[in-house]
Amino acid sequence: MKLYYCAFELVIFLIIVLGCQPQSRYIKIKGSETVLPISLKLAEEFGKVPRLPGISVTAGGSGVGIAALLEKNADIAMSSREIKFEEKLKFKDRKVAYCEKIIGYDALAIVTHPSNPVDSISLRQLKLIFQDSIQYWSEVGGHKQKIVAFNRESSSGTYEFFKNVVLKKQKFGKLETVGANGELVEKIAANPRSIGYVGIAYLNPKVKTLKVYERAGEPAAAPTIENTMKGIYPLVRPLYFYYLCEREKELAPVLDFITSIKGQEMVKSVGYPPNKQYYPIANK
Amino acid sequence: MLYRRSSQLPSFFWEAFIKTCGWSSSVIVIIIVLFLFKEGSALFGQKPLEKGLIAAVHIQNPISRLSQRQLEQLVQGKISNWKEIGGRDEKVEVLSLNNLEKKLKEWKLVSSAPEELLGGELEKLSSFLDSLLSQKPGLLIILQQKYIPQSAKPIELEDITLWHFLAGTEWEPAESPVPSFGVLPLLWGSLLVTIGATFFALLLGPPVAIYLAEIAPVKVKSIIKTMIELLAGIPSVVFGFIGLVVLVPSIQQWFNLDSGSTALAGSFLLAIIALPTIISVTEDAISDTPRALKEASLALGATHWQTIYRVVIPYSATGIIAAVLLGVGRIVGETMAVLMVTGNNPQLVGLDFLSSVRTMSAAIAAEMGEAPQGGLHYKSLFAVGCILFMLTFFINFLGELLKYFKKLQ
Amino acid sequence: MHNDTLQRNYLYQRIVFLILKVVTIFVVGVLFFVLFYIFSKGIGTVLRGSFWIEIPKDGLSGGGILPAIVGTTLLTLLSILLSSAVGIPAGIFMAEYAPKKSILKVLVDIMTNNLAGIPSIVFGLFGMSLFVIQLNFGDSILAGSLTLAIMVLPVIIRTTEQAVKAVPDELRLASIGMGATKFQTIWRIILPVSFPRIITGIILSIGRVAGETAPILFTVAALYLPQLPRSIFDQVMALPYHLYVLCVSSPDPQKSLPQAFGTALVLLLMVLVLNLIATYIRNQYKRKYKLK
Repeated sequence: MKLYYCAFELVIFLIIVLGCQPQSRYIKIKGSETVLPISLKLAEEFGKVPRLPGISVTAGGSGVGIAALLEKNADIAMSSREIKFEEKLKFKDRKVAYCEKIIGYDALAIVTHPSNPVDSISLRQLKLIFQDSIQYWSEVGGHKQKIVAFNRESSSGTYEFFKNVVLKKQKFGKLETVGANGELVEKIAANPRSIGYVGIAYLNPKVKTLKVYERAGEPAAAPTIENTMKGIYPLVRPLYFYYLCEREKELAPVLDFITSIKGQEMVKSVGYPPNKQYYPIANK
Repeated sequence: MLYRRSSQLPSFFWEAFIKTCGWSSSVIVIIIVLFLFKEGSALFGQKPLEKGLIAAVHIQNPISRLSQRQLEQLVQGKISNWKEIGGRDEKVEVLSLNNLEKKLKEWKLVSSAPEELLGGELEKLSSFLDSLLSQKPGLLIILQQKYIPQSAKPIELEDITLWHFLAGTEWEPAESPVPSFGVLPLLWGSLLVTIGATFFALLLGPPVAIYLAEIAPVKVKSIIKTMIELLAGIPSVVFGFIGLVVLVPSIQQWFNLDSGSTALAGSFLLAIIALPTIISVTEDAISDTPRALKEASLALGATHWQTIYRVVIPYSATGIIAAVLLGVGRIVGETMAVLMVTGNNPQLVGLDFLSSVRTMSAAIAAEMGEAPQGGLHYKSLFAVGCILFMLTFFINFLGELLKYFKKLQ
Repeated sequence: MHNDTLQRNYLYQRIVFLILKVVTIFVVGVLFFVLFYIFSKGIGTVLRGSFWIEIPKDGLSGGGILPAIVGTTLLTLLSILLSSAVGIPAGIFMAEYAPKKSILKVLVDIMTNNLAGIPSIVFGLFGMSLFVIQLNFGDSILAGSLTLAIMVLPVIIRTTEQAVKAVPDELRLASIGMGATKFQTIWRIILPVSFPRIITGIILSIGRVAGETAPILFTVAALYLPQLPRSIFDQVMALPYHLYVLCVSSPDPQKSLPQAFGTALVLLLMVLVLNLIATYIRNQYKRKYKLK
């Protein structure tokens, strides 16, 4: 009995000693699933060096990240789209200034099952597919079977980018929603009739990427880092870090690293095209 | 140390402490109810627009009041002319901060950022809208109060009502500027998964309980009971994981579906999760049957099975129903397993178990991380939480009541 | 003729019993399948020593799960401590002090059952609104363990109540007969005797707390935080949430599948070991006091 109580007291003592320290200062990064691989790698790199601040990463979607930044629940918002007009206004209402850094680019890949005979697709066909107007693969040069298009959650920046660029801001058809990029790739790999859109860092050999062209007659380009940097792939978007300007000094270790050549090489190693501005090697 | 010291302390202090703690669960339940309903009920009586926004139309527009349904249809473009809802023959154009930039470009009023026309702080927006309204009298403006121009009058919007929440068929809480909070798809999702799970649980639970209580030898019984306890201990996220890697792909193959994430997968997993509860409570109920009853039946020449289903089962029926209810209470609130295997598509699907559904618990888990604090979406999720709370409370209460009656018997 | 009916009835009975047996085997089979599947797929990852002592690496597809193990351990310890501190006295109150068969006892009983029936996600909502937002703890170990403690409170109350009730009346009467006060009886006789059973309940609660995901989703869990917590106001990673993340948020779920199996196995092992310890203590206790 005494032993139990001694242990009990010891645990309480430890908790008091350990617990009553102030919150550790780590940098909270929150937002887009697309940028997540970069942030995970970043946090991992920072975790290795004890003198650097720790980094905590949370996903949720671009909109969530920016909202969290506004509420000061995050230090850096990762976003796969530019800050929206109404979000800008919210920052203005609160009288805080945000700053942005383009940390890399993403080519949005159109993925299907490897057994699919279709090789390339136009933006217009994509639009019709995701609006349920084209319902059979045969209409775009495939087998005569129904198309199963997977959509993303509406809070995702990828969803918004696709809606803006491919669907020209019109409504999606009735599609199944998938919560995350990785999950989407899994679903596509498991279904021979499926199609979906996903950031290139999430690609793996189990799915096939389609070449995309803007109009008939134009050359179709595959989503690769090279094509993106040359500017011939049509579905390219910048990836952003947003943060409050007043906190630039505290966040300097992260921001300096990600905009350094080493940081950009890390972005490239994760699978995204780096930002040429910070990665002059590519220009040569 | 603590032991010796504390025994010297006046015992009335400890007794008072014990008595205070005795009330802890009651106090906590009350606090939970308070918080849940405070946040949840805040949804009702709010305008169906994001905070700070108001809707306004041209001052000569005869419409002065819109229901939430009408507002949704206007914004979604389902109502394209004011005369459809009793106004003048004018085309509806909806202008909000979300589409301001796009609309201005569409009307060829600006070429790049709207700031060049409206000023960096949007100080010119109000006067710009004044002139715009005279050209486009069918404009519906959804903006902050300070941007509403002189020549527009604010429209009175009906509050979000409980009825609209409960009977709405569309769940799009993140849609801006006019979200839809119809909880019906989520409610139906939960119900569908629960129906399926209850079916499987009824198929599997009572037979095991009967076997354990009546047929199994003592040794086998104790081994199986330990295993059932073990099954109860497995975290639901592990079941969800197994479901994701084993069940979902199999269902996709068996039924040749586009995606195996279906209500069926959720039902089966939940049944397994609820089984330990159902089995142990059913077994208790069956074991409670008085020996005299059973022996009388056997003495009359009935076989063991006849005794079971003519005497034991009728006698313990209340207890079995209570067990199933308690199991259902567990099923309704289960989150992680469902979140991982049902596909999470908030849609009304009828009785189609092979389609993907989003349950109430999964909606809370999936969306709460995305909902800005204090917003309508946040409150609506709390309202969903309230429904979930009341539902499980009701089911569990019924189960406990039956158990109580069983005891009286 | 009678013989015929009788024979048919026995045939019938044999068939039904066979069905019952098959169903039972199926249910036990499901358990074995889950255990075997995760063991066989996860054992390779778990045997890799670095899995226990490294941070997750390479976009969650490599390295170990040390932060998650530490996080879950801390959360579990703290929440069990908090909940025992309130739950054990509450259980004693229910068994010894609350007047039997009174409205008051029924009310407290109903409330406790009600608390036990609340879905875990609702606890998550409540924890977020009270601890994270209202009391401004932020996403922190403190908020998470308080939420978990509330969730597991009814379990601890119930097991304590049952443990105390199971103490034979002879002991109670003997103690009071020797002039001890009620409190002395509880403190010196009843608690020590029922202690192993209370501990059993607590150990089983640990298993429950360690595996819960929904209550910690919005109160503490971090998707990725490759460092160990230094204060109770820090976020942490947690095993069950990490498993969920590996399944749905990983950049490449296929590549992180071995990690997921490893994490699931660690979780399962925790629960299994805790269950075994609880069973062992219960058996020891039964032998010592020769109780049913």
